[in-house]
Amino acid sequence: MNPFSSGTRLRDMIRAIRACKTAAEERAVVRKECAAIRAAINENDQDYRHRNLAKLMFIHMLGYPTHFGQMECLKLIASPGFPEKRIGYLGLMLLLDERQEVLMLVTNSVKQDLNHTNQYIVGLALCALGNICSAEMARDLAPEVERLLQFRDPNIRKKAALCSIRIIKKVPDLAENFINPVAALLKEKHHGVLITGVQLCTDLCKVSPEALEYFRKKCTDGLVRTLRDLVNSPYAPEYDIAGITDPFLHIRLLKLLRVLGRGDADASDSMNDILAQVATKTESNKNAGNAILYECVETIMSIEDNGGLRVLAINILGRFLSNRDNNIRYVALNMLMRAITVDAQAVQRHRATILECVKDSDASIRKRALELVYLLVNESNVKPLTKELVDYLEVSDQDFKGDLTAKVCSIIEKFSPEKSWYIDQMLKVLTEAGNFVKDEVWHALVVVISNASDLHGYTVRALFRALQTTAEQESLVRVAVWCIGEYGDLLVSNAGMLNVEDPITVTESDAVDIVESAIKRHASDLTTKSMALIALLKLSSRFPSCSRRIKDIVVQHKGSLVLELQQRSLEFNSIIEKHQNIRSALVERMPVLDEATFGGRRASSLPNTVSTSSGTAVKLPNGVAKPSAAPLVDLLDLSDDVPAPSSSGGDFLQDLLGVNLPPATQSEGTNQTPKAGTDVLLDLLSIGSTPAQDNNLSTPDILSSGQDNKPIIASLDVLAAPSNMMDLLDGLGPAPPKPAENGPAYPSIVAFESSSLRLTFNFSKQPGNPQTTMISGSFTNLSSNLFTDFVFQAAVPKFLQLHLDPASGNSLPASGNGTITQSLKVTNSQHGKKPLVMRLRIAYKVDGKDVLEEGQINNFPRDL
Amino acid sequence: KSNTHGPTSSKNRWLFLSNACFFSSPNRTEISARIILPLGLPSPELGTAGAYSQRPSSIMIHFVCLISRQGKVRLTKWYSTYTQKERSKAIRELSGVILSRGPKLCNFVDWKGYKVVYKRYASLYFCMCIDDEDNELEALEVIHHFVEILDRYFGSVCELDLIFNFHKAYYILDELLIAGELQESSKKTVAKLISAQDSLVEVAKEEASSISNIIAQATK
Repeated sequence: MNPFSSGTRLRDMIRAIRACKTAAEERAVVRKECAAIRAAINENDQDYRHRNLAKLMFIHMLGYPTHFGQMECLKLIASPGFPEKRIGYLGLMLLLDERQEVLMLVTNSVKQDLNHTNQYIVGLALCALGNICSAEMARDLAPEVERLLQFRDPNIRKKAALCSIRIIKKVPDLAENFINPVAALLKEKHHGVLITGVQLCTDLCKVSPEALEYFRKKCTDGLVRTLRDLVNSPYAPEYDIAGITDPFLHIRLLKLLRVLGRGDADASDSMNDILAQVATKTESNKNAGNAILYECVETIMSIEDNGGLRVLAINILGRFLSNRDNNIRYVALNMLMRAITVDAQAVQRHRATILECVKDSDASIRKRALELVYLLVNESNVKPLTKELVDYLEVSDQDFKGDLTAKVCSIIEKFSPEKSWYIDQMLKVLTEAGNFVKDEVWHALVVVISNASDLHGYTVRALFRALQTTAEQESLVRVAVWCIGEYGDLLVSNAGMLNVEDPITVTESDAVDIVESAIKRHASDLTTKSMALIALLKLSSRFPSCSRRIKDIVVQHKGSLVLELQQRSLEFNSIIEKHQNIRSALVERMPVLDEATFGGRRASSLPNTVSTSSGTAVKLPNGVAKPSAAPLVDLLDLSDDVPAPSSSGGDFLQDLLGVNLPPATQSEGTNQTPKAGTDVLLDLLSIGSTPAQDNNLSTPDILSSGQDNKPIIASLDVLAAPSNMMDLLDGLGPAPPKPAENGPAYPSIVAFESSSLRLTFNFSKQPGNPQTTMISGSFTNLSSNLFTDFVFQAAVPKFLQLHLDPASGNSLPASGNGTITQSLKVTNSQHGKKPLVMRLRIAYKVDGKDVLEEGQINNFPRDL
Repeated sequence: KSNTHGPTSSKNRWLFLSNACFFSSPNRTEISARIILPLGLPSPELGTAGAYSQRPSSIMIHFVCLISRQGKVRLTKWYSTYTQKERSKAIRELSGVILSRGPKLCNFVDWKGYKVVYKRYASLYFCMCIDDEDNELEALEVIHHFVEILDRYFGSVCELDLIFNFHKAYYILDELLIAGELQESSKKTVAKLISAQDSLVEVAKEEASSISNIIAQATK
């Protein structure tokens, strides 16, 4: 026996590892063991191979690398004995996954084992295959697995059935091979086989419409009968859980019936009776019974409408919701969220209970309830619901406040019946949870305030009051400071008093005090401080009596270590001191920010986002969700356009992915103060030199058109550094793609030509962006048959980025009587070094037959 | 609306970007992030997006893990494909969330668009990750089913049994679940299959030791 490989026993190693007091000790033990195992592997030690693999599995579980043991699994699997194979397959499943190339090497051994005479070895191979097989293995071994569906021992049949599920998920084309054997499994009596057979059938129906059609016709009645027998079966100790015979089988049958009944009135009809029986007869005092009711309700809601059954199902959900068990309430909320598409009225009836769940002590329940409440809001109930939620905001947990605030803000924005209500509610939210309010939300608020001219006085006074009581909420401070700067005169004069508010007496110096305190507050960040400086500048003109004092405050920041503040301080100081004559014009109140302009483009992208916006694809019954509009972001159009000048593409991408681009990218390349980069509003204010601020903010069209900005800028020449500013503004305009006029011309190429199809590419580039090429492809049908279901696919290597727009159509008339156009955008990260290259795959149907053409394009013009 | 994708996935692979449908990618988590369905053409998953519409075929259980009260991993089994990094990240995140939850709360936590169903038995948390729309109550039953089988096999099982005989726990799990789906609802059948295989191992061991005895005797 090899003296080096004997090592410790598995048990001793585990003990040694458990005895370690520190992580370092543990690492030392593991290192020693691993070294011994590696040595044994190198020696090709036979005797302790399986013990070593067991050790490796334990080490793997602790999180250490064990790749060197992968080949040992293969060797064990290839050895003849059952014990070696058993541990070998276990190691294979634990140490490898489907992506490792090594896995391919095992295909042959698995194939042999699937044909082994020992049924337990067959079982091991099936299990491993079912858990980790790759698409290639699935293809290679599908015939064996299919054959094993008819194996004499039921325990192999059930394993083969689950293994088939993995196979058809990996390779859906193979589904049809399994239809017939599965139909046989559905008639079995053995519960294991039945459970797995029903599951396989469900998955087959999901991947293959033919299978669905087949099973719906042939098996619906049989399955209903099976379920009925099961529901009515006498006590069976082997399968009994809480007085119910095999709830797992119940659930799987109900799931399959759901798939079969969905969209088919006849099939739905044939299962009505049994569903009613399950819904009424199942005991709901134990978890197992509730699990069945859950599945039954889902099935009733999914199949074709039957009024009576739906009522039954909604009632069950109502019972669930009032259950004392947290688990049941949690699933009730979940299911109501799905039921809302079917019967929104019925769900609305439970609104009060759901609202209580928002305040539950359990975070999981709170989160679900909040999502549900969000779906329940509509114009008629928005006021009471918002009041409840805002009130709860005061007392809610810190870690829940973020979610809650986001939802409340979204509700307020979406459904606000009038501006005064919107402003009131937002102020409440800002006061309670201003630190959780996202930038775009308070930006939107600022736009709304600016638009509500009759409420300016009211708003600024309310904000002043709020700020007096609490200055802890950052975004409250910002909005308040902005409003005081803009409407400070209304604050002092009590102008535009509404009859609901109490008059307050604010002197000019009170107003300056409160802004000063915002600057002095330690917690204030750069954005807030900068905004406060601007507010002070504005107040210096509104309140000439305080001008001196304001100058002193501004000057204090002359030596600030933060460049932004220092710069502002110096510039503002110079305005106050030297440019009295233009100051009042510079700091005039901002013109109304145009809501429509800001909101318009975002709204246009809305319909696309609905289906993908939430992961669960819940359709919102209360209308399309307005995105939390960020008008100021839109105004500048910085966020999406920096990486890709085609703004719509960027928008969609962002919406679809649900990605919030990190704010840092917004200011890429246009901004030199990193902190301020988090705030577009600020960027706006700090572009070029300061006096431009008001004009910039107030004239969105300047920025978006990029053309008319010169006169205004010219008028500011005195103070601004014009060249710098011009550049910035030019860069901001969303340069419309007019490549034909501006970019250099490239010859068109025939990118692909076969006997039946020709594809030509025209190229253009956007000026200033040499990396990106716009390609307009046009397909011509050279044959005499119509092509339908035309699908074009393209692939590019890593250094390229490809962006495909939808094609102009999916059918191509014969003999060149029409074309399909397809635009593409390619960004070459190696521009100038590597030429473009692209592969194509074109699929279409001619007379109902599939045709696939493939090709590679190497004849792109150089320098693209 | 348009399709976009970033750099293609692995080294020399060409990932085709389509304007009509997407190809199955080996990693389901990548699909959603990389490839986007265009509007206009009917799409299987999103076209009829409604709460009860047909969803892409999914695995019932994505992974199973057993975590001790101290946050040590006692067993993990992955039915969906995760990289090693994703695995340890998932375990780390989940143990943080689950271990900190109070005893009276519900047994479900939302995690990255999935749900994790967990149940505590003495010092061990049994966790299963399922799809968002799957039956959580059933997952709880599956967990309990597994625990009962373990209990029957080890005779009132405790954490130590599962530490020192972790491979046996895996064998039992493999008789219970394959490909993330339940394979057997009878505890008796599972017990029978495990003991039959254990005895096969015993027989092989005895044979081996008797052979090595013979060899030892012969070479003396």
